[in-house]
Amino acid sequence: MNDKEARLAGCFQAVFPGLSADEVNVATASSVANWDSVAVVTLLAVVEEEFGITIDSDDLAAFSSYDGFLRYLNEIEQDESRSRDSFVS
Amino acid sequence: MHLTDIQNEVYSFIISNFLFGRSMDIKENESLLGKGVIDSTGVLELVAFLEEQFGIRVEDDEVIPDNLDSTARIAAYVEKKIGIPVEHNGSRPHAFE
Amino acid sequence: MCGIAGQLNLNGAPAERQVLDAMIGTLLHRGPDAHAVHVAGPVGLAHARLSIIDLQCGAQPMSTIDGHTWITFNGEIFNYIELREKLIAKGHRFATRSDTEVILNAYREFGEECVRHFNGQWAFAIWDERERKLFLSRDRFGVRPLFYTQVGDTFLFASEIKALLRFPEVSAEIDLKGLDQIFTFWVTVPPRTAFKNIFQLPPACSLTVAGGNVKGGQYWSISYAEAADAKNAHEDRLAEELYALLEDATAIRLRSDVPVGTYLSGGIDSTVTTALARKIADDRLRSFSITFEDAEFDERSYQQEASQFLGTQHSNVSCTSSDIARVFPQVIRHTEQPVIRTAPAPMYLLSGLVRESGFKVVLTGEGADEVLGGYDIFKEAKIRRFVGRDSGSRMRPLLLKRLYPYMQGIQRQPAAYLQHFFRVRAEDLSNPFFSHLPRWELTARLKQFFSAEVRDAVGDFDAITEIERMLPSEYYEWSYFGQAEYLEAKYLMPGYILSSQGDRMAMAHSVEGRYPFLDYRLVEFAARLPAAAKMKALDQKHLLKKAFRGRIPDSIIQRPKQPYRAPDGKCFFGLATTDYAEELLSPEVVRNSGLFDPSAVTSLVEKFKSGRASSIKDNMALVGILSTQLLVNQFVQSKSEVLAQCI
Repeated sequence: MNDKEARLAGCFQAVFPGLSADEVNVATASSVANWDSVAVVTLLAVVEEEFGITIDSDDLAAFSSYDGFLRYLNEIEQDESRSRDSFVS
Repeated sequence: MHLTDIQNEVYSFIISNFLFGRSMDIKENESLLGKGVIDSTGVLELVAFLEEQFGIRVEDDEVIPDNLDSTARIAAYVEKKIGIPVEHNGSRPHAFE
Repeated sequence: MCGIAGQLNLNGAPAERQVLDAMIGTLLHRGPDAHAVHVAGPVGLAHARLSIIDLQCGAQPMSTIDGHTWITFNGEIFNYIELREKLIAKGHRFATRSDTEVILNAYREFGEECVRHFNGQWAFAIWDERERKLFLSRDRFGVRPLFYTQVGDTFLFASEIKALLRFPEVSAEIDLKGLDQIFTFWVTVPPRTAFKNIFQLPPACSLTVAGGNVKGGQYWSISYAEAADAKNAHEDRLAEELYALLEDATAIRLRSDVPVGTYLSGGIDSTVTTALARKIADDRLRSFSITFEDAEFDERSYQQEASQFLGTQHSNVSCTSSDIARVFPQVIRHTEQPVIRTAPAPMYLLSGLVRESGFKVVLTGEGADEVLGGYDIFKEAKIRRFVGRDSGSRMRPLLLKRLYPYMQGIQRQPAAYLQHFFRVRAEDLSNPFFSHLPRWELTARLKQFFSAEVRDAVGDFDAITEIERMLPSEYYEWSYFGQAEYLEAKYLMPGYILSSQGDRMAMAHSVEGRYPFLDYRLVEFAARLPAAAKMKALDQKHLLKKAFRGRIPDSIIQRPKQPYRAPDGKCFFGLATTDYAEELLSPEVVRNSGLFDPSAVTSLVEKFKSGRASSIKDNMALVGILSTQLLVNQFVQSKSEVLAQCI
């Protein structure tokens, strides 16, 4: 588990204290009790604070699992490095 | 009921219930939230009044500024709701958009 | 712990013993054990004692052995033992074992700077005979009260306003700008009080009266600048340091020649102070709490759990809506200012229980929320900033529902309305008072009840603009979290929590409250912790919880914050109508006092009687207006009646 994944897992555990480390990695909207829209928004808030970002999306479906969040984080990291690269030409 | 009758009744209610009798000029399209007349802790009182006064049932997802944030909007919303007959066995009508 | 009062005639005329007797006579609830007056030329000092340290010899007013310096003092200097040793080493002599004498000798050694050496809670006046000066001081947080006024050449001070009003030329008139401030911030902004020309010495300030002049200054201020070493420190180490500071703060606050009890509300703060007291004192500790008939406010299961876990001997006093109505006039007689909530009333009953149980001193948990990130208003501000980052989002406002899970009304609020109420427009995000706007703007709506005369008198006075000018320049460099904590610590804590709910309610039954969380060493450490240590994600008081895990029940650590509240408007116009409330809110009486619009008040009362009123705003309006009317009735009108009788 890399640093990003560990920090994301920490966010999940802050919002769903009952989740064990194993359960976090495979957490989805249907597998976790108490996963409702308020929980998702809480996760968004916690992830924003942890990673110092602003999540630019209202699409709840994209954030319906641990994987979904991880995918989003990886995408924005790629976007960042792409825009960095574009200055080098 | 005429739209203006509904508006007048709503206006009277707002003056007595939220402004405690102090009259204020509230234009029919003026935002009640923006004017500070009704805030979120008071909007449920408005809902209770509308249900009692006009015999309608206000659904949770209808409690939005689009429907309630000015006397004109409230009147239009109530009129829409009044136009729907209630089944005599008490089941709730379908909302129409 | 005591009551103090005094007079200084700036023109050198002799001070009057019967004036001082009259003043101190109103403060015997603060000091039932003894009282005395000392007059020396133009100065007079009076003291009413609640004997706690050095019961035999600690009588006041007290002087240094050489008789050149006198003091009348309310409070405790908890590090008096250490200071005493230092002063003895410097050659000072002591005739008593009291902390009072330590202040005197510290003043002789350090002058006005002596206050920086004190760790405690105090309001005192020192008469320096050689310098011909009166030196007044108040503790850093405003735990103990101190009021003053000047009429002609007479300077007067006292622990409570009622003492000042005994001086014939001191008039009782409501300060309308003060009223405007209360109906915005819940408190007046010191030195202003609810009464015209009667002032309070602000917390962390001293005042010198000499050569006909009155001069004041601030000797301490709270900083929320995040400490560099704390930012990089491991959380475990910070938790250990917090624990150690709190343990010492509690230990020195157990110094007493009479037994000390604790308040145990069921919340984490008082459970922490009780746990530490239990550990240090290792005796059968007495704890006290309030229980409510109304389940919405009651916390008895947590209180019982804490008591069992910690092994205290617990008592509680039950509080119903009619109890609150019954004691409310007495409560206002002691708060000496209007209140927006009835919450002081159960505290009044609680101190009564403590007194009946034979106790004079209790430890209690106030102060933790303001420096360790406890209040909902901080969580609320954090969530609001999150919502404001994308104001077009439909999803973000949903998080506002997590704010007040215990308040049914809020849970039913539609997101769009919550968003507006909680103020997350772009311009709000850059407002220095962002965290407090929802509360202040809601409260300010109560001003719609002001009479035309009040509105005219207040004019375009803008209470918020005034305090913006008073913000220290460093404020803008602190984190948003620190800024919110500062506003609570500076305004609501001394003006309401420590006074109307704290000192005034305890002293009404001759009980002294002591606050381990307000040990200034702890406050200085805690205030400067990184925001993330205080609120991790949405977990309030994170570091405190970490420091005490295992030492207090887990259920208390994990429970959501339940702010201390009591039933409000329905106490007066619920199942039954309270007679004095009906009278004081009747059109004739309201018109007579001139502060509120009679028909608006009548409509409000009707709304309560009909059962339609339930909003936060309506409850605040009723309590705010009723308490103001009670204040006028008890202080303004009765004084003119008393004066009329004298003519």
